[in-house]
Amino acid sequence: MVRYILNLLFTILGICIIASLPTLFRNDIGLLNFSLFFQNLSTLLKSLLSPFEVTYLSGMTERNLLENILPYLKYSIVILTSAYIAALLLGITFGIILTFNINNSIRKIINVLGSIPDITIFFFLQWIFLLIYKKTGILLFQIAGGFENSYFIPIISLMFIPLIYFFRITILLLSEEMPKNYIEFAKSKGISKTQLIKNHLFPNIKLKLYNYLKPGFWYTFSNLVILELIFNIQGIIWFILNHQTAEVIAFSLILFLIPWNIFFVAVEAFMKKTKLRMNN
Amino acid sequence: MVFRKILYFLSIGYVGTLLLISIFYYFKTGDVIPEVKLQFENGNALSPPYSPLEHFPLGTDNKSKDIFYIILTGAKYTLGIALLITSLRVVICLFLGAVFGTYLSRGLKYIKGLVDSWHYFPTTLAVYLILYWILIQDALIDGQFTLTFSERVLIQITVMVLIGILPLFYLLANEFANIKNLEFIEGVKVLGGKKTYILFKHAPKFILPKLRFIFLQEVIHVLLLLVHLGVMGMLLGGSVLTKDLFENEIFTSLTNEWSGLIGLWSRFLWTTYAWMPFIPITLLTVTILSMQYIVDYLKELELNKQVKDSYVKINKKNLEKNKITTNPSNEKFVYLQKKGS
Repeated sequence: MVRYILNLLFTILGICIIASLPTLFRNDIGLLNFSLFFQNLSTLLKSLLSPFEVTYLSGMTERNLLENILPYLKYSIVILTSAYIAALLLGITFGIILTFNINNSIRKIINVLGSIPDITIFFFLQWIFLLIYKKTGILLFQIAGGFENSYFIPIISLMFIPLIYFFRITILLLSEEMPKNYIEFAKSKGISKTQLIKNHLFPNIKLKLYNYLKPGFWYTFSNLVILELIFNIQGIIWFILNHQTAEVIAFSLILFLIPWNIFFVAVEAFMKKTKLRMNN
Repeated sequence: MVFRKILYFLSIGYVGTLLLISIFYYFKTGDVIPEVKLQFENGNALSPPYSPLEHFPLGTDNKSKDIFYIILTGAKYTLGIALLITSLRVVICLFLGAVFGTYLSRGLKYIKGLVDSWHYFPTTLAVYLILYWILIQDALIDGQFTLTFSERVLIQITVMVLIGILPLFYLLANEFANIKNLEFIEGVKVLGGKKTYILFKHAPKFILPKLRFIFLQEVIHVLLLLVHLGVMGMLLGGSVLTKDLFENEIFTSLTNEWSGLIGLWSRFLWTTYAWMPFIPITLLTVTILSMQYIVDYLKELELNKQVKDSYVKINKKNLEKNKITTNPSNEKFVYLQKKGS
């Protein structure tokens, strides 16, 4: 438990350090001004202790950070969480359904396609939405500076890349499991494919899949940065880029990421427990 | 398999040719980009972004410059910067990883937490925020940078190298640390091999083959980082305001580097010139895919080689043990040993 709390504190400290790094590279007050950097870092760390009094400048007026950040935070969290969960479920489901129909060459093609840059996919999707609008007049998404928060299109777009990722991982894990002896034995006994997957294959890859939850999340999150820019979504990244002070950066990311950090710590603890149980 | 081999050589050829032609063009003409004259249709002047149909082969940009040559001159910067950043990262991490993995491998598990929390801050966002003042804000006020172009590029490269050090260092340090778990190392130790001896004598054989995969993978990461920065409006060495044919002020890339072009031209997606951003995007995607393909192919080749080697060894051994000599004859069956004889 102490280790997890330490881990959490280190994550917060790391975010704070990176959030105050830009002060080192401001050429109006001198490059690599370390004394100012440490000064900023210490004020930032102090402000973490009294979070309700932190303010930021919006245009000319000073506003309370925590009160104003919530709508942006909520929007990004909803998009990211739903895209991540949908990608996870769909990726694993497709992987399991298609695993018997996929041969080696298709697997290789999927492997290469998995490395298509997110930018390409986002631009392409946006262009398709635009074409649909031009042809049918249905505006699927407020593209240029929409004030109304739309959810459907961003979630669908964000889902694509993690979906391919989880699909690939599932196929890979299943193909590693396939040639093992117990599967051969189960097959020779005449167990049907659905039974085989339900009772033998999936329970055995489940533990290994937990290892990929975290990289999958990082993947989705770094895609969110670009998605918010390209689709002009007014979420947390948009908020950070429009108010670039150390407090805004640190608070946004801490509020946004700490729930996830706790979730992954829980996953890790659960995994350790299951592994111990399996070894006994 | 033949098809895969052809594809492999095509991938190498694509990346290599782009780089070579781009460098050759620089030395031949000094990166001159031809300007296309105003085109007229029924006596009316057409405004500059000409489509590939109006001007062969890739059309022109909004300043009436030939996109084909823009792309050509930009290629060496994109690939060159990616290769440079990756080489610096790999060299630094190889050194640090060798030292840490060999002598301080017990400390690695403490770094794991640090590496883990490092991932929570998206690299793109970190680099953008760090370089925001130098590359964007500085020129917003009066259009002039306080630092020179080479200073800006130098700072950008330094930041982009340093931001990726930690995960790569951790990966390589683990590779070095894992060597001492190999079975024959016990024998080396018994015979008096010290850590330094293992590092210089045995480690290279295991690390170097893996290093080329790591290198190519890292090049892809750096290219993606560059593209992300480009889309966010951060170009290599910053962007400057220039005037086009009709005296409109527009941001221009200083190097015509591809990721910057994607960022600059992405606004044309909403107009009738939607093909414009797709040119650099397609080329960059093909570059990344071909690099990924090279990695996959080499990995598979390595795997096949190992399987083949072990197969050959077993067979040779078996053949010598059970050597059977038969007389060549027309009979269908040759009894090796007749029963009862």
